Amino acid sequence: MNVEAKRQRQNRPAANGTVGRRKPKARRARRRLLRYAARRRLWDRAARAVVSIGGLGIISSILLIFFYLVYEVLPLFGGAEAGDAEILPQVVAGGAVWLEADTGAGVALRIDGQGLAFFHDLNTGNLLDTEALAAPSGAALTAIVPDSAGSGLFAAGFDDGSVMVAGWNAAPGADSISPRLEYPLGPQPRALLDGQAVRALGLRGGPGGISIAAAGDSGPLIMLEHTLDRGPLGLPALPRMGAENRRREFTIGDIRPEQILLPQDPRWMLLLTAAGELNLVAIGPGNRVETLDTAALTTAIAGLTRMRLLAGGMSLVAADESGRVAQWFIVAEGGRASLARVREFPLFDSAVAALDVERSRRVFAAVSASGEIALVNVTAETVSFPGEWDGPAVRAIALAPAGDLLLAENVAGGLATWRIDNPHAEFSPAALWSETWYENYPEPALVWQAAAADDALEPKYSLAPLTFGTLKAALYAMLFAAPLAICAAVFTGYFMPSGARRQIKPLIELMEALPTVVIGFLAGLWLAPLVDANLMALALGALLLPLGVLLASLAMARLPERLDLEWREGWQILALAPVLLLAGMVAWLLAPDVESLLFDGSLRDWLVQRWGLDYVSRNALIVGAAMGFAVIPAIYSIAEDAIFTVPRHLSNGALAIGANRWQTLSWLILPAAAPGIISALMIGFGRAIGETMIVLMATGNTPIMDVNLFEGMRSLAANLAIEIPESEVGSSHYRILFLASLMLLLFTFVINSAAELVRQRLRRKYRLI
Amino acid sequence: MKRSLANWLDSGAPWVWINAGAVTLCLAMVFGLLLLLGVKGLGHFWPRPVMQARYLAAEPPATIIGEFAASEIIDASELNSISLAEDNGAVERQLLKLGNRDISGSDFAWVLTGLLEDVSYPAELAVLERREWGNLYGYLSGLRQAGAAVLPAGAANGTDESRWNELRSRLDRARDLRREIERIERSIIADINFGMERLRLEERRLVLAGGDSADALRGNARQRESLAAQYAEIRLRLLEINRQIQRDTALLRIADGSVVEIPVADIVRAYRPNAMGWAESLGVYLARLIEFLSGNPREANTEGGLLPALYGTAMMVMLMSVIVTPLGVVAGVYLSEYAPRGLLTRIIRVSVNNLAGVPSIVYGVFGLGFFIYLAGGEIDRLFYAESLPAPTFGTPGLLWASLTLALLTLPVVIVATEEGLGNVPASLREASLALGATQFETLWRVVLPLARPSMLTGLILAVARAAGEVAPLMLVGVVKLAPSLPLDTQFPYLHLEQQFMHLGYHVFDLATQSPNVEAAMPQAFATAFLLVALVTALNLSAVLLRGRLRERYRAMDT
Repeated sequence: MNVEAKRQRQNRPAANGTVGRRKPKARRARRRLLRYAARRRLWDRAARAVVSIGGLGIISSILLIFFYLVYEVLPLFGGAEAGDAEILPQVVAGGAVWLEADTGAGVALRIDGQGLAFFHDLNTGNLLDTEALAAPSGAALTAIVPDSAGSGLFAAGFDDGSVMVAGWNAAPGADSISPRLEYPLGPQPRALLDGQAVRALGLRGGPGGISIAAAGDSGPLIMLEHTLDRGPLGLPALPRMGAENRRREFTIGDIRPEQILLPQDPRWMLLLTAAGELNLVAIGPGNRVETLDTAALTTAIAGLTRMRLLAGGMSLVAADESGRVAQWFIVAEGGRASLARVREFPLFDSAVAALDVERSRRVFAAVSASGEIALVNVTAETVSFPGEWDGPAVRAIALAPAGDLLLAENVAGGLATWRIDNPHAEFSPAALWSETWYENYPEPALVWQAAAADDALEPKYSLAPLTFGTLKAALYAMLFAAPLAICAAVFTGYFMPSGARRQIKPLIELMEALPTVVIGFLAGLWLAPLVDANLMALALGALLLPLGVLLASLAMARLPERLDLEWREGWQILALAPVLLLAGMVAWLLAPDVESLLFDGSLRDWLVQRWGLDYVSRNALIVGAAMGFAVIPAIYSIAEDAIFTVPRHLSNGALAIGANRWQTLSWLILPAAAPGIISALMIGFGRAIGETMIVLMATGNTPIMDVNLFEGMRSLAANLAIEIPESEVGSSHYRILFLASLMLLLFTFVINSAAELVRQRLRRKYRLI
Repeated sequence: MKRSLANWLDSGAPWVWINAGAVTLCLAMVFGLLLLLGVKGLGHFWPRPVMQARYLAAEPPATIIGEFAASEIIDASELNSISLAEDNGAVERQLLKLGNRDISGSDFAWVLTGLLEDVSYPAELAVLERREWGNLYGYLSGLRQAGAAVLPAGAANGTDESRWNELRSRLDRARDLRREIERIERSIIADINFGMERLRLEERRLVLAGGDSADALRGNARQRESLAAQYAEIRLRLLEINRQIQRDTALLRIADGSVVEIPVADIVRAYRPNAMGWAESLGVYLARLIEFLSGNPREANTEGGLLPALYGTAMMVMLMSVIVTPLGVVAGVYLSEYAPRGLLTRIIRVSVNNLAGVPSIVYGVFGLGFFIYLAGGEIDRLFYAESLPAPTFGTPGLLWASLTLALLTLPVVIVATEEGLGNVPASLREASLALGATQFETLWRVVLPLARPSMLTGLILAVARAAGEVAPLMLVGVVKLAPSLPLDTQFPYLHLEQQFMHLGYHVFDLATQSPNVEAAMPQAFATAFLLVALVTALNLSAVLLRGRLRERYRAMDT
């Protein structure tokens, strides 16, 4: 609004008034005007400040996405860390043959050679309580082994041939915790070997039952199997009254086990002899056993020192005098099970003195004779050395069940703890992309299998199959979309008169607006069964459609001369509609005959038999077509713009010197527009990479690596949609999924930026011409 | 001939035609898809004739009654039916909707067309759409009121027409009673429940706060008693209505000759498709269409309406618009008017542009991690400590979904705003500045009003994108069945923390999560059609708006 009018309004009464009062009034008006101007300036500045701060804030908040994803992913790469050694002030008496640490309850349990259990405070080392194992009177402890299932139970064997299963529980009292020993099979020891000292012992516990195996210096191996009622929430339950209590005797010939390992799979057991030979024994029905494989765990010179089953009870780690620890597991291939030495960790220069495993993750800690400590994430193959404990040799170590603390006891009775921070033990950057040998796999492989609730299954985090699936889906989509979109762009951008172009272009671009969930729905539930039933017709159609178009073109080339029709340019698309319809019909009608003539009646069977191509209903063909459909408009729109914006005078020049329109197009327009077309393809590709719903609904979402057109896949994006709602916040799985989304973000961002760059360069070029 | 063929090839005509073919194919796909959705989605509501036939493959041959659903030609060898052993080659089979799921177990069956005999379409055949267990097909053979036959026993229980008249009036009565029940449940009982929950939370808050709260607790207990008394009263009233509504039953003779009795209250709609003319069919069609648009889903979403999904979509989109519009406009104005011209701004501009191409699932992951677990968890700890560990804002919900989609569509609005501001003819801007207006005044009085339509275009495009987006929503807030609407009569009226239903997710759920795929398909097609229609309409309006705008600027510039 104008200041002038205001001033006039103010001046009008002054004109009628006395002349003498006019001067101060004018000054006042002037002052008012100045104030008004100042206010306007202030407003202007305030607006500038508000909009600038707001704008920058909003834009940076979008960019926050990137930083937040990085923030969630970074802890994955932190590796394992440990605090300094905390030497507990108390010195304990009597060397422990069994050591446990529980950070949840803050309690450490030690059992000495006499079968006395000591409960210590983990922070101070103070003795909380002492309790004797309910051992038979006068019997000495000869063996004590952990449960292979990681339930926290242990089995103890005595020199009178009896065996007992025990665990402990810390009942929270009023102001202190009072840990107590518990006996899931009752406090009475079981006489397993008749008067013979228990030399080797194995325990497999679990919610469904408890199995104990024991062997003496001679005689058969005895196994006791208890079936338990499943406790509530999967907790180990007390045995039901009159629970099944099966005793089996296995004649194991001349194998004299020093150690017995009962892996989670009840079909097998592992027997280690004094000579360091590991025997894989298959347990048949009844009392039949068969030795399937024998392997020397270590060379004779480097004697074996420690051996434990890892969490999940499917693979074992064996440590030896040379400071190496090796992982072994049972590989079943072609119906034949054998032992495989999978990986080896050369940890120390001196012998491994003690070793303990974590209960639910494949992590172990080892201590060398000279006091070095190593923490190893087995599957990820990452080793860290959190510290060293100088002084007397370490006798025993214990890893807390949650993996957050390591307790060590030395021969002088000293206790020390290390706080451990190792939240992502199952992740290693190398395993994301390179082949990893997982438990029970015959060979290293690239597998994506995120852990379920069951610890027994090793989580397998390789992004390779997902990335492969993503690229496969995107490439098949591009194979479908690129030719169609570019051809359509060439026609509308160059051959079509601008009136028709203005009508047609928005129609094709309308495809972009279709929600992808609808396209996915149609692909999965309408197209997939249709293609299933009419694969031959489809293949024939793909052949006949272009043929039909060419025939139509040939016919038209001869027609106009005689009919001399004044066709408008661009009318072809209408004329071709019936042609396409006809070609489709012919393909559909001919399909059964062609199929029985060439492919023995079924193209699908023929593919399977002749080429070994498996066919699943929701396959890459469906995804390619559906996702191709979804990316056509993106490619088309940009490519068409690129072709259309090539200056007309270039083409006019070419036409003037006698080139026909096709020659002009292929020798002039297309090369000029090529960068734009390439940028269009890049954008389409980026779109296809990140598309979620179509892949989710139109494939079976199995993470396999197979280029076969008739097999499915699982893409990164679909995997995110499936798994992230169920993954635990902050877990490795959760963070790896964030890593996958960060990859998607970066990839699409980079490819879009590159495309944009190409496009801008193109635009600048034509501005100059 | 040879000569002309070479000419033809040289002229490039075949390649031009191939290109034209690509355009035709693209258009055919677009229209084919729309047509397919339209026919399958809208056709689903039209009452189809119901067939009665004898099916010879059954042992012994049985009478079947059902609606035709689909047919296909298959190879006889794929069947392991003995009765067809001698017949090799292609046979036709059809999918029939037999209904009566509670009686026969499954409501769809494939039958071989060749083995159907005595196919007829009796005018008396009735279709009863029920609240549970899907359709019931059969002949209406009688009506009972409180266990006693309604129509005089003579004349074989009355004519079919008299039975139908009776049924119609009783249906009306049941419908009125049901409305009353719904009214009570929705308003009065919901109020009581809400009051109870509020009291419980208040007590917990008092306990958490500690200190002397005996008085307050006593007051609460009194309130709770009065609420409980109210509830008992309402419950009696509800029981009474429920007793009344169960008064009438209908008797139906079904395909196997047996008679089933179903309460009239369980019938949503009853008609005789074979006896209806097109006008009556249209009536049923419209009634079903209206139910689809305004009713609640039934039977695991495979029947009934999708009002909650429409409502949820609309709420989410509106909330998103409220968030995204000011943010997008401010950022767009900054980039276009205030940002310094330089490399940095260009990089920012390209980045914002490219964010529109970032996969939507990435936004979903961000929303889940940042909004829900981080921000939501913090809000819960600070303000909703009394209801922990049950999270209030720490779970997927309407607010987080709207925020996530606002973030997702922000680039669209920013780019549109910027484009609109850039397209305002420079002459107007210069004129304003020349008259002495400041930059802000020029912006506020001249440029922004002119750019308003293009901002609107951006908003429409953003809304269209948000309405069709599903992948991020699966992580941040949609559910397959929401127990209540996010906007209702309970304080604070708009429930930002609640999960909601969404049209797009509805399609996904029906298509992939439904236990009864055949029954879910028509509903999925109808929902998909509705969604596509909505999004297409939004996009077309944006295109038209943009076209008109361009004309206006051109007129202004010259």
